[in-house]
Amino acid sequence: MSTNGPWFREPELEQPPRWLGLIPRQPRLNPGQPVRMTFTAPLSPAARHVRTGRVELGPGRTMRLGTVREEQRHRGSVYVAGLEAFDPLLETLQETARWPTRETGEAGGFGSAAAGAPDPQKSLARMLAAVLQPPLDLLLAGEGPTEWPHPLLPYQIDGVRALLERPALLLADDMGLGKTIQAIAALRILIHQRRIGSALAVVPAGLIAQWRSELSSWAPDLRIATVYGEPSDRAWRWRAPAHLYLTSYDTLRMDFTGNPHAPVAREWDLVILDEAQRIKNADTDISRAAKRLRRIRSWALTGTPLENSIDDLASILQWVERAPPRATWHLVSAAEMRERLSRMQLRRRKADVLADLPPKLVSTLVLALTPPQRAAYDRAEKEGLIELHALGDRVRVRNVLELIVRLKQICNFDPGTGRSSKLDDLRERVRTLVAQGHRALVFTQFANREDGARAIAARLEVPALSYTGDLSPAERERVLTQFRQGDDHKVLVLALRAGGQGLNLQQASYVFHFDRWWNPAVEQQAESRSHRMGQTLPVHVYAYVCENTIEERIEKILKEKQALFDAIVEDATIDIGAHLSGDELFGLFGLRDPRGE
Amino acid sequence: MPIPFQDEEDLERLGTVAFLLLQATSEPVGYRGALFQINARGEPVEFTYNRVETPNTFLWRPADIRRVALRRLTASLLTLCPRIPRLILCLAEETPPELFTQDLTVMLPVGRIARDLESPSPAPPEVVEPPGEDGPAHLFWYPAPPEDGTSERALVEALIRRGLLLEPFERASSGLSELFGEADPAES
Repeated sequence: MSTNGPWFREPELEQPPRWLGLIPRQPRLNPGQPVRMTFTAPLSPAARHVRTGRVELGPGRTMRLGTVREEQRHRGSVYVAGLEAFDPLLETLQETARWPTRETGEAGGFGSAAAGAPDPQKSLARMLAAVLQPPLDLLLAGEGPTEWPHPLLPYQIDGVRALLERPALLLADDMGLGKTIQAIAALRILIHQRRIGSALAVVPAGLIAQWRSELSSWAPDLRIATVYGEPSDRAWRWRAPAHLYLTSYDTLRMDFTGNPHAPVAREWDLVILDEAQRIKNADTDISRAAKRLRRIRSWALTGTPLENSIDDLASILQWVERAPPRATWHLVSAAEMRERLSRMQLRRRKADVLADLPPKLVSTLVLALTPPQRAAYDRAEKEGLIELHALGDRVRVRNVLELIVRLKQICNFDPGTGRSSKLDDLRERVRTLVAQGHRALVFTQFANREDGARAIAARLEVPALSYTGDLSPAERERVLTQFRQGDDHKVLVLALRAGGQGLNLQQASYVFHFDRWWNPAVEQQAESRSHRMGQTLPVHVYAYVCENTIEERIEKILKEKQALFDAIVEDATIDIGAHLSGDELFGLFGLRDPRGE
Repeated sequence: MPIPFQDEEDLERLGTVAFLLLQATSEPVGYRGALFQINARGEPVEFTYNRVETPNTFLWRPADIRRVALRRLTASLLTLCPRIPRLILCLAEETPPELFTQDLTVMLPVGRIARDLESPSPAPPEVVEPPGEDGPAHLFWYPAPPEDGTSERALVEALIRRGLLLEPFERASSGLSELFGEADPAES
């Protein structure tokens, strides 16, 4: 029998004579039935189909084109269409994700019945789809389907491998080592290998634009749904087919209702928490929502897993491990916590893995208050103490904190005249730096108009931009672009809470802490906006402290606390409001805690 | 109506390459094979597989049985393959030269890859292409090597550059192992 195809031909076999005239000389075979598996390209870009001023989102669903353009202007390549082509793919990917692979050690292979996969042919296709994918080495080298914008560094490859191998990991690299890139690379490989279908990344709102930018560079073939905006917008964004759903902690808190049918309540193949210290407090709604997410893989990213106390770490580890809540963390020994960390945490230090990173030089600038400031400060402290004494047994920690904030504000600016010794010094320094072509970051904990980031930027006498939490995402992106790429503004004043985490600002090589947050981990996070991978110059950090003020006294206590927490995690530190004891807080003013707190 | 265009960097236009893997089996006695098509990025496109049982008897010479079995097996794989690849690559150590030079006529370049020149050797009609700077192996082409400037040649170069000249055979072998069990020590 001959077989012919469009591109090959099998000539008819000439039958040889029989042996002894009886037995055929052509052997008889028992051929099987050939089987073919076709693999659709999972990541081929879907075309956008735009018609009559509206974009089709699916059967019967459209979106106004103007809205789409607005989205794209603010958010980059927002995925909005091509659903019909993508839906079968999504189904395939989800089925693939449910299929146990050899790596999991679970049953698999030809004909075995996996949960949720009763059809042997479909199961087989899923298995083959996983087995036949390019090997990890090829993917990591960027030579296969995954081309990387830059080669991954050796320690980053190790990090990606760790993420791929472990369903639960706390990636706690030093700030600036590229935790986001490692997570995105690992996510992309998991998708390529058909090991997962879709993932959820929860990030601080201020970092969504940066995540989108990194995703467009490091995983341009992934379909991203950014979930934000009004509830009606969020509803369809959650339902848009995508490989990765990107949202903020606040959106997660709002959308994670008790409704089990809510889109976010689905089971996720992977959940990534960026800046995972956001769930350090186990009692917050955000923390509770994050821990109730149903998920197969949990990756927490943070450079500062322990900011204040062992409870921070415990809360994050509880999320990573999906462990039940435990009320007795304060009884856990440092050794036990270290042992847990050694199992769950991957942490590398800049000094160990980035030998070429320029040094960071930290200096404290001790200044005297201007005479009007000193007068105002002394008066406020005296009146505050009188008020505290007057409260007697009714005095609370909150009263002490209010006094501290008031005194810190005076350390920044005299409330009457606006004079500031810090501003005078900063003004001189940035004038020189800008003239030399350098760029500088200034961090302050205050965001208000009177003496916050905007006020500092306005009074510097050199063109300066301000970055505060009340800016819209588009405004934030515009400010950052102006600072990074323009030559008109070489100073950026940031509110610590809004700009102290996650941003890449290697263009600046000078960092000023206009006031102190009293939490070294947070300050180090801020400094790492500049001192990170890609920095080519030594980074100079200056921290202002006004002599004979509250700033000096609290710093002393924090140094003692720092040493204690270093024994568990090197970046451990404390937060004044929540974690200085009552005695310590009252002791700042020579008082005793009336409740023995 | 879309505007016709061609993205020069689009590897899709290079088409696919088919890796033919043939393995002898002892239980049941016979051969199993796979035709594994990937694109220039190494992504799987098609995977076709089959096996054939052979008689275990003294009536025929093993070489004859093997030749007929590989011919039938390969023909069955090619028959089911709906997408025409640019090239077929196979391993010289397991694919006899006569499979494509005499038994089957294929309208595209077939390259038998020889990791070393010790055991397999080219048959007279085949053209030997020694490994280049980055090439890991000799290639025995039939009827002729892809010419410079063609998509076929670009595809070969892309595969070599990405380390994909030999690696897909391992994936195809893993696929067959998933389907039929681990490879056994039967000689091909």
